[in-house]
Amino acid sequence: MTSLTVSTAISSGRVQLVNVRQRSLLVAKLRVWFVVGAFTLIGLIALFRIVWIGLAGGAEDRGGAALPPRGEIVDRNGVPLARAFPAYSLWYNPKALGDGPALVKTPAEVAAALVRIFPDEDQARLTAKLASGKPQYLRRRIMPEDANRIHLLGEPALEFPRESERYYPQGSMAAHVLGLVAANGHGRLGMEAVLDKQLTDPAFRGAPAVLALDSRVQGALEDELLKGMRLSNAKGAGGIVLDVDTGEVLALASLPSFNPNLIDQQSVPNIFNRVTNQVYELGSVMKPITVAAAIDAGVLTDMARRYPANALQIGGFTIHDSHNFGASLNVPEALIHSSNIVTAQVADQLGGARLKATMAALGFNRRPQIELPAGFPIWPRGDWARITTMTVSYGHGLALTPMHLASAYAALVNGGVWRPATLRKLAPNEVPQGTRIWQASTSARMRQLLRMIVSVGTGRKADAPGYRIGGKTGSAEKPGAHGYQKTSLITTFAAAFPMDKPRYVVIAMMDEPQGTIATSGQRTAAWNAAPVIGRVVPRIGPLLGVMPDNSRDVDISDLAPLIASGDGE
Amino acid sequence: MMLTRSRAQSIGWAVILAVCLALTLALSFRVNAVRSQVRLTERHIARLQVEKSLLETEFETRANQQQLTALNEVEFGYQAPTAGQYLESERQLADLGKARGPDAPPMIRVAAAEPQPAGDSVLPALVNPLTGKALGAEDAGKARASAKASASTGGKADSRSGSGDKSGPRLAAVVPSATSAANLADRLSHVERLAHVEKAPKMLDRKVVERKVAGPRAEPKQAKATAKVEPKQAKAAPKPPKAEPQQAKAQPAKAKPAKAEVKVAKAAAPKGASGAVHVAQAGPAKRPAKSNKVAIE
Repeated sequence: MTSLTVSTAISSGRVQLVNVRQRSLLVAKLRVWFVVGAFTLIGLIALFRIVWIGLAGGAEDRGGAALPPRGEIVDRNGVPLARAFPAYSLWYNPKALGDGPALVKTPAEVAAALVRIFPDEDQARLTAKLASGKPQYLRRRIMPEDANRIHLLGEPALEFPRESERYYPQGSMAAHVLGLVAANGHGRLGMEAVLDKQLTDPAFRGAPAVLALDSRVQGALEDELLKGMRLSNAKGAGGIVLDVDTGEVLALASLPSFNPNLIDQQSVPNIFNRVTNQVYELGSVMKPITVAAAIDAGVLTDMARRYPANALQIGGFTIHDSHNFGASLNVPEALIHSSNIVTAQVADQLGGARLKATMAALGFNRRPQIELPAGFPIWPRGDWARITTMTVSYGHGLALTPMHLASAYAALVNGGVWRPATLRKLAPNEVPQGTRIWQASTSARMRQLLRMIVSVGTGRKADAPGYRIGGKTGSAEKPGAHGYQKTSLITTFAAAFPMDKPRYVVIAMMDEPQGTIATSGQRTAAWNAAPVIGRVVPRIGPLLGVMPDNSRDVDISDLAPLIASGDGE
Repeated sequence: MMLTRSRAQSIGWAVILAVCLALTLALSFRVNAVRSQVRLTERHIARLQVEKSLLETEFETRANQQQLTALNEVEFGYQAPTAGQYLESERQLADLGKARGPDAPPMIRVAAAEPQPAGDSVLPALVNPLTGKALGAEDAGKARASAKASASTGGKADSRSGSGDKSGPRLAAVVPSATSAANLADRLSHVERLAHVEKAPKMLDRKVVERKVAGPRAEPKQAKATAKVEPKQAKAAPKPPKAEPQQAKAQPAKAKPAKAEVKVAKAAAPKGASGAVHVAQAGPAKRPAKSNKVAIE
C-alpha cells in the first residue's frame, strides 16, 4: 500500500515534471513562433510598403497635374493656335459678406463704377444683376489690370476667380479653321467642334491636336489677301494653300475674319466661311479642267488645231468672249486669252457624259471633302444638255466651293491623282492613295498650259520671278434677280507652283471687287486675284522649301510656237 | 531576480524586435517625408509649367503673325528674297570664285586699289594659334635675319616655300610677294573679298603710323636718319600712291630703333593675318625700300 502510495507519489512527481517540461517547451515554441511571426509581419509590411510606393505612389500623383482642361491645338510646326489660358472672370457672390446686404454701396453705384472700367457694359443690365442677389457671372475674361481696378472698388461681393478659358494667341488668324469654344466648354465651330471629343477626352487631351496648317503661310496668305481686298475694294476674300501630293491644307483664309477671343455683334456675320460654306460659279478657272478631260479622253490630240472664235449660237443662247480674239484660236491660245467659245467647242466635242463623269470623279457633285462643315454644290442633274455641257465647261451653271477647286487643281498638276483635302497633319504613311482622274501625260501637258497662261496670258500679274507659277484666272458674274450682274463678280485665281515639280496649289478669290486706281479700273481676276498670288508665292515659297530659281522652268518649247504674239489679254 | 540565459535571450530578442520596429517606423516616416517632398516638388513643377505656358502664350500673342507683319511694314520693310539671293549648292558657291572668262567685263572695284608692282604680296601670313603672333614673329633675331635675307633674295621666293621650321626664309617670302599670290588675288572675282584683303593692311598700318606720330619719342636725330632713307624710297616707288605723303610724314617715327618696331609688330600681329606684313618692319631701319612699301600698302 505504502509502496503503492510512494510509487504514485513518485509517479505523480514525474508526471508533473513531464508536464512542466512540456509546458516550457510549448512556451518556448510559442515564443519562437511569435518572434518569427512578428519579424515576418514587419518584413511583409515593409515589403508591401516598398511595393506600394514603387507601384502606386509615383504614378498617382502625376496624372492630373499637367493635363490641360482642354487639349491644345497646334500647327504643323508646333506653334500653339489654341490653348487653355487661366483668365480672370468677374463673378458676383452676394454671400461674400455673410447674411447682410450683398454690396457695400448701392447696386446702381457699383454698376456705374463697373461701367467706368468696362465702357461697353450696359449699366441698367448690371444694376439689375447686382440687385437680383443671385450669384452669377457679370463678365467673362477680364484683364488683370481691370481685376485690380475692381479690387480697388472695395466690394467683397465682386470676385474674380481664375478660370481656364480658351485662348487663341494668333488672334483672328485662321479663325475660320480653328472655330471657337462655347461657354459650356464644347467646340462650337471649326476644328474645335470637329475635334471636340479628342480635345476633351482625358486619354488624348494631354497631347496637342496637330493641324496641317502652317501659321507662317496662313499669316502671309491672310495678309496678302487683305491687302488685295483693300486695293480692289472687295466685299470679301478667300484663299487656300494646299499640298498637291498629300491633300493637306497649309492655309485656309476667309476674309473679313473674326477674333475668336472676342466675339461681338459686328463679327458674327464674319464667322461665315467663304472658302468651304459658300458655293460660287467660279467661271474660267474651270476651263483647264475641261481641256484636261478632253486631252485625257483622246478628243483633243492636236494642240495646233484651230477652232472658230466667232460668237456661238446654241439653241437661242449665244456664247461670247470678253472681246474679239480674231477668227480662230487653238487650245493654248484659247486658255491664254480665256476664250469661252473655244472651250465650249472642246466640251461639245468631248460630250456631256464624259465631262460630267470627270467632274463627278473630282467630287463636284458632293460636298468638298474637308473636316469643316461645307456647302453643297449646285450640280446640274440628269443628262447634261448640249448647252449645259458648254456652259459648265467654262464654269457657269455649276457652283462650287473654292475648296473643290483647290482639290481639283491639285489633281490637275500632281500627275492626275485626286486626294481628299484634310486639315489634319498627315504622317507619310497616312497619305491617302487617292483616285486617278487623269493620266500623268495629261497632267504634264496641263502644267505646260497653266505655266503659259501665267508667263504670256491673262495671269501675267501672278508671275513671280523664279517660282515657276502656273494658273488660271476666273471672273464670273454673280447671278442676281435679273440674270447675271455685270458689276458684281467673283474673281478667282487658281495657281500651282513650281510648275516643273508642283508642290502647292494656291487659290485666291475676291468677292465683288471694284475697279479702283490700284487695279487700273479693272475688276477681273487678272487685276485683283492674280497679283495676290504673285505676292503670296514669294513669301510662302521659301518657307515651304521651294526656292526661287531662274534657271528652271517647265519646258514649253513644243507649245510656244503655237501662240501668236498677240496682245495676250 | 536571477537573469537566466533564456530570459536574457528572450529580452534580447524583444529588444531586437523593438529596434527593428523602430527602424521600420523611422523608415516609414522618412519615406513619407520624401514622398511629400516629391509631391511638393511636383506641384511646384506643375505651377511652373502653368507659369511657363502663360509666358509662352503672352509671347505668342505679342509675336503673332499680324503683329510681326505690322512691325515689318513699319520698321524693317523686309521683302521676300529673290532668286538671285539663293545659292543652291556648293558648286554655285564655288562658281563665284571662278576665273574670269576671256570676254568677261572688267571687275567693278569699290576700293581704290593700287595695282601691285610685280612681286608684291597681298597674301596674309599664317598666325601661330598658340601665341597669336605671326609665325616667326616670336624671334626678333630671326625676323631681322629674314629681312636681310629678303634684301638679298628679292622677290623670288615663293610665299609657301618656307613653311616649317625655317621661319626666316618664309618671312622673307611674305614680304616681297610671290607672283602666284598676286595672280590668285586677281583671280578672286568677288569684289568685296579682294577689297577686304587690300584694305585691311592699309587701315591697320595707318593706325600704327598715327600712334607713332603722336608718340613723344620722335627724336630729331633719327628724323635726320630717315631723311636719308626717304629719297631712296621715292626712287624705288616711281608712282607715289595716295598714302605716300602720309607715309613720308610718318617716316621719322618709322626710323626708330628696331626694338621699338618689333614691339609694334607684336602688338599688331594678333589683330589679323596681316600682322605678318608688319613683322617685316622689324628689320633694321636700313631695310630695302621695296619691302617697306609693301608694309605700308
